Amino acid sequence: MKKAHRFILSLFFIIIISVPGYWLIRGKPDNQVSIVEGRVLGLPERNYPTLKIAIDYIRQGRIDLAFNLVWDLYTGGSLQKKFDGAATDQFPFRMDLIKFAKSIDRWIIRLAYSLTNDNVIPADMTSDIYIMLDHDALILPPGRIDQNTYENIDIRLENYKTITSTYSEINFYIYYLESLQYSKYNPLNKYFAKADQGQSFTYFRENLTDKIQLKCMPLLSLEDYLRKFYRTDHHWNTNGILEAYDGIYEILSRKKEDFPKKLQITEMIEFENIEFLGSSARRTLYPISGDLFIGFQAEFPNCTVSDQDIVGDYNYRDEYLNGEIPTTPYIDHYKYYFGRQSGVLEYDC
Amino acid sequence: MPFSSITFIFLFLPITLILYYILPRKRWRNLILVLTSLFFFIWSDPTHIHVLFTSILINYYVGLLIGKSQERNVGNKAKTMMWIGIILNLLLLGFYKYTGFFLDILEAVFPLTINYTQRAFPLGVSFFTFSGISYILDIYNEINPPEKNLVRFSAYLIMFPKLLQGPITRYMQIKDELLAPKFIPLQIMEGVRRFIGGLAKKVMLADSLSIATQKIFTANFQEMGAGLAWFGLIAYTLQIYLDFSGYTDMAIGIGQMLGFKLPENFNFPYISRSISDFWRRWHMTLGAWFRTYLFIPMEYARKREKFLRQQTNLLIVFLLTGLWHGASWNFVIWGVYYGFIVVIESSGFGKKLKKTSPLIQHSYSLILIVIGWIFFRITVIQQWGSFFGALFGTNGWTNSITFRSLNVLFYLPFLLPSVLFSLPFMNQLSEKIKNKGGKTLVALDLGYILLFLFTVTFILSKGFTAFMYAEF
Repeated sequence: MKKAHRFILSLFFIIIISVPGYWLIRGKPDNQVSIVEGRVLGLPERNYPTLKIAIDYIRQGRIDLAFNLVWDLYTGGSLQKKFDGAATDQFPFRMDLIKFAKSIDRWIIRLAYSLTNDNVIPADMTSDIYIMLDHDALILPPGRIDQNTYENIDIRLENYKTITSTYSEINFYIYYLESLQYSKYNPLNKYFAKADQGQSFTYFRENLTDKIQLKCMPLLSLEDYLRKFYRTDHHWNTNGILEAYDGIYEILSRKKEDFPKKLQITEMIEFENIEFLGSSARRTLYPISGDLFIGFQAEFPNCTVSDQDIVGDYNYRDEYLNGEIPTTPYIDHYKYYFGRQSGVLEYDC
Repeated sequence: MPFSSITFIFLFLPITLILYYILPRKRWRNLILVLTSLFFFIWSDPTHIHVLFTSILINYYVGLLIGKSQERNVGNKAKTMMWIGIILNLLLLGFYKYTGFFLDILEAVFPLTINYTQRAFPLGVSFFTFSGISYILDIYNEINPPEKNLVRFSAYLIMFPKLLQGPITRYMQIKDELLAPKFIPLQIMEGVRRFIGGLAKKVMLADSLSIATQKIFTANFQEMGAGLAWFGLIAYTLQIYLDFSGYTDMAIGIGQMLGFKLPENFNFPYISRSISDFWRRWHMTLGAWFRTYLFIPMEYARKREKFLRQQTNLLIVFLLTGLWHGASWNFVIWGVYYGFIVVIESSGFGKKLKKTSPLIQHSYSLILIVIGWIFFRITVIQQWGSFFGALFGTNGWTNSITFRSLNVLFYLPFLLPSVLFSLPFMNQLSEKIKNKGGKTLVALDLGYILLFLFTVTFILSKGFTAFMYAEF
């Protein structure tokens, strides 16, 4: 028994030694991108370009420069921070262990909320994202409104006035997409005394200069929200995109008779084998069923798309339609199907 | 490098233990301890390493000089050296920690405008300067001779388990282990248990509660109901104990793994029966330091004074205890608050309190301790009124800021285990099992290993950062 007892506590040392041992044996990992987290994982030897520069300086005999470089890196704490981050990122079975910890978090949340009748409860302990239990949808809590909100809106309104009077020859438009955070239909509004509930937009609309044309895609109900937005993400889905397109087309074409013809949707395509898990699902790791991913076909004009003069497709629509669909969990189908959302793409039609 | 970081647990600690124990000569262990401690400090606070070196050199040489003077029977010189040592240590502490505070006072009292920006002070400066002072005074009082070996002395002053947050250790408490480092398997095993227990207390309970208290204590108290205010205060009461005692458990555990028996710092302070009792159970090494090196010498120096001698001495000690915790008025007031209560207790009230039922004694102590944490936690004194108002219902039981609006409702279940780990119950159970041995002890140790793995998952989970806009 004494031996068994000693062995069990020796496990502690075995565990703490086996982790660096694993790092040594494994060497440099092949894939360092964490799809779930949407980032490149830290890796000690690859993340320190400054050290490489310092070594180059030493080789050139410029010891003082190398010293200063390393000193700044070290005293600033970034070296230690990167190293700590890399040690955490490279921990064996990290993602599985995190999922386990998150499941414990959810168990504790359920335990705490079992004292209440709430059917919208936090999805995890860190993200401030909630799960609507009766709709199986992840949502953000209400935006708050206070004196600062009005002051910020006033600054923006004043700015708009200045711009429209300075460039009076230009037509200005605003298309406002009402999100659940700022809507009166957010089911959490009753718990937040300062929930916005559309007040900030009402104030904005009432005080906006008439030189700007304003149109809104309002939320008409919670069901309307669920129709237009993903359950696992705070972004609009295809229904939302198409409704917004109609709205934007309508205000832009008001003053121009020769405005290009509206796109005609030829086909709505449901990718039934895709389980779209958006950013809210990724951030919380909440075990939620994926959204149905819907794409569409339209008679798109023949345009050349470029980014900083580099011509390309910048989407994988054709591949998706040909059935070449990535199956990695949490992969962002939205980005791949519709195209990149960052940077400036130029359309030459 | 926090003890609860992956870098510490899975790199620094195993490498240190391997280096420490594989060396062929035991006397090299102190050198390893010094080098790893320096690395530990440099990793956490690289810009203040010179302060650590200064502290080592001051205390080492002053200690030697006092010893030499005593050997030659030059009492006055020894006294002078003792005072020089204390003043240098206090200057070191004062310069880094209190300059801004005292300049603020000067600006308030005199028509002066002083441009000074308070910079971050060296980590652990309050702990290693107090250790240095205790070392000098113990040599002066001939409790122990000066340590002639610089490596051994450095190992005492800066050993990493106690470097940043104590326990404040006297040289004589670990002198034997420094002279003859030993490998005691049972002590190492006990160290493992202690480390795991402390890590779990810190990571799973204190760190979780800290998120809730941070949200509550940075909210507008004028819009807070009594329910949330009490929850915040109780959570903070538990958090501060579990955080500090968790850290101490880890420090003592690591000490045991390295063959040292560091002094205890906590003895279940929330079961105290009076405030005097509380200060014998809370941060015990600091209390002992002030008692040994300030209170008793002051009592001795003023022994001929009869009027309010003990009371004023107590007030001075507690004022300085408050100031030790931070260069801010709220800490001073926190210290003086306890000072007054201890003075009242020592002036006869304590004896009357002892005659009451244990329930009254515990309730009395706990209420005063919990209220004391308000002064400690809320650094802006102007906010104390509104927080007390919230506590005592001026904003109603609930108000616009609620458990749900701050998203802290799910921290409620953390209270029960936190209370359990703040009471002796769990410790007593663990001791019973250890004494019983056999299968139950195997089960207990298996529980410790599982707790360790579980705690590691919590640490990893905190490092999970999925970027909302990474893909969009």
